[in-house]
Amino acid sequence: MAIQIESVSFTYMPGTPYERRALEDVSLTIEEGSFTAIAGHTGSGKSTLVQHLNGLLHPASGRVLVDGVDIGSKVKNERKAVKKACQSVGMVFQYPEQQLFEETIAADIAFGPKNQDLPEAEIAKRVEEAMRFVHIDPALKDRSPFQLSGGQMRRAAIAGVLALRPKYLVLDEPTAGLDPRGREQLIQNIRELHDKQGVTIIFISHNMDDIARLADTLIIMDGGKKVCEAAPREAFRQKEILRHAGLREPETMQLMQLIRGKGLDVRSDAMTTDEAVQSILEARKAHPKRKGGSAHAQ
Amino acid sequence: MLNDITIGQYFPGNSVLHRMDPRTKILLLIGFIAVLFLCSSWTAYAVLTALTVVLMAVSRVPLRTQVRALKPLWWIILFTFVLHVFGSPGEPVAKVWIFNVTREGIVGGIFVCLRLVLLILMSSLLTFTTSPLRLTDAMESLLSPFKRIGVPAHEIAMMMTIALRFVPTLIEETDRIMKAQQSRGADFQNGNILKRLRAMVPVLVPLFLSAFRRADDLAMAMEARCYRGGEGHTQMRALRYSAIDGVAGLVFAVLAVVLVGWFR
Repeated sequence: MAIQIESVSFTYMPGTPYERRALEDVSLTIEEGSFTAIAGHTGSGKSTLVQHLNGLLHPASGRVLVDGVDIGSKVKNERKAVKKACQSVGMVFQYPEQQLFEETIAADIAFGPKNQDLPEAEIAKRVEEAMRFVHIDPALKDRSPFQLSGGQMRRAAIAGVLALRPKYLVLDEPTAGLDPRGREQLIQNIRELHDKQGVTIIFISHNMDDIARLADTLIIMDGGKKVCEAAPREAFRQKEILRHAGLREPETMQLMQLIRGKGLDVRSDAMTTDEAVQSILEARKAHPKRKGGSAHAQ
Repeated sequence: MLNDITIGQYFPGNSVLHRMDPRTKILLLIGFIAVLFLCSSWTAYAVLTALTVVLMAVSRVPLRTQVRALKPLWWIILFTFVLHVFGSPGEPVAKVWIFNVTREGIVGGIFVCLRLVLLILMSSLLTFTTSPLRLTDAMESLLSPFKRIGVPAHEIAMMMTIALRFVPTLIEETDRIMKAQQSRGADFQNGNILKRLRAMVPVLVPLFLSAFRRADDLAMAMEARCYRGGEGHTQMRALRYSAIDGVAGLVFAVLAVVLVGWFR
């Protein structure tokens, strides 16, 4: 099972002077169990693209299939299947903490399950589970969500989406505006969600280092078009595409390329810190005489 | 879905109407409305309708958009017409149940509706051809003579500028919050009125919170840039009357005098 996007195009405010083409003939498949990253400059169409995945926007042309169901279908007896398909895609918007509204954390997380008319006991179970999952102490459930710290608020808001038990989870720049610790915790949560719960993750990010260590597929958007769909390591090799889309390789990779330029024979495609450290150590073992580093090797 | 709001929307362009000083446009609009209410002859209305149509064409704003400005007020116009048709005394031409339809009623109804339609079209022409910023500048400039009697001209204009500035931002934000709650299964389209009102709570609470936060941020930012009110405040693009304004004012003055003087 998978999400299939078939030559989707979308235009905002058609027929006015403010008309703007946001997506142009985009096709891609997101396999179940994958960890897909979407990157691109502001206005490249990434947010528009993901809003098609659960039917918030409908394509002007083309179609979106979630587990084989065309979610743009207007056929009456398919309506139930469409709703179910849309519900299987959880959506976490940018700055999700800004959508909190209930008096208590538990009530806010329960909003989604309640809308699905689940029994009380099941809702309570899901709320507790979701809170545990994002590492918010379930004892805090009767507190106001507005008393939490920024990182906690965001995780509480994400818990509100997780309580729906989505099969696919879309996150739009989940770590934007968080402090380093909040960031790290959230990344760990997302990784666990994928590795342990088997949730398919689709996330939009500007942070190439996050993408390098998390994603197995990277989709690059540029001017409403998909310009690249490959494993991150492959994608980062295509410098022209990256530059044109306004992106850069992960910082680790940039550093490794600099070191290589200075004469130490390291791998220039090392993306993560671990890979980089290992490659540097190997290179130094192969050239023991360059022990002093490359400080004088101008 | 929320992007369809056209009232007060500015259509960038370079027509004569766009280049006219916003103060002239406001004053002429007030004059036009006055003439509209003073006159009630067929000749006068023919001239005023022709004027409206010509200006609508000159503005180069798409006709469909201009006509759409009438849509929200369509029911009021219809209601007024019906009220006039059945509610006026005079020579009866038909009878519906216990109500008399009179000749005077039909004629009066047509006049009142025409009045409303012309009024709306002309007013929206002002907002279509004037950017909100220039509009509030003009307000401030026009109100400033009344400062002496205690009208806070600058503050009113600043409030309007800020309010207008945040309309698109808040619309965008509402859209985003609605989508977020929809993704969590909120349903805004179905159910009775009470249910739909209740469905708005998850949208309104976050919206108010963010509006307050924005207001706070803005106040701080203005203070950090030494905002002290309008005293001694100059403008980057000061308003200036040009030849167009003189010609437009003159033409309209002649037209108004002729219409009100001879064709009332």
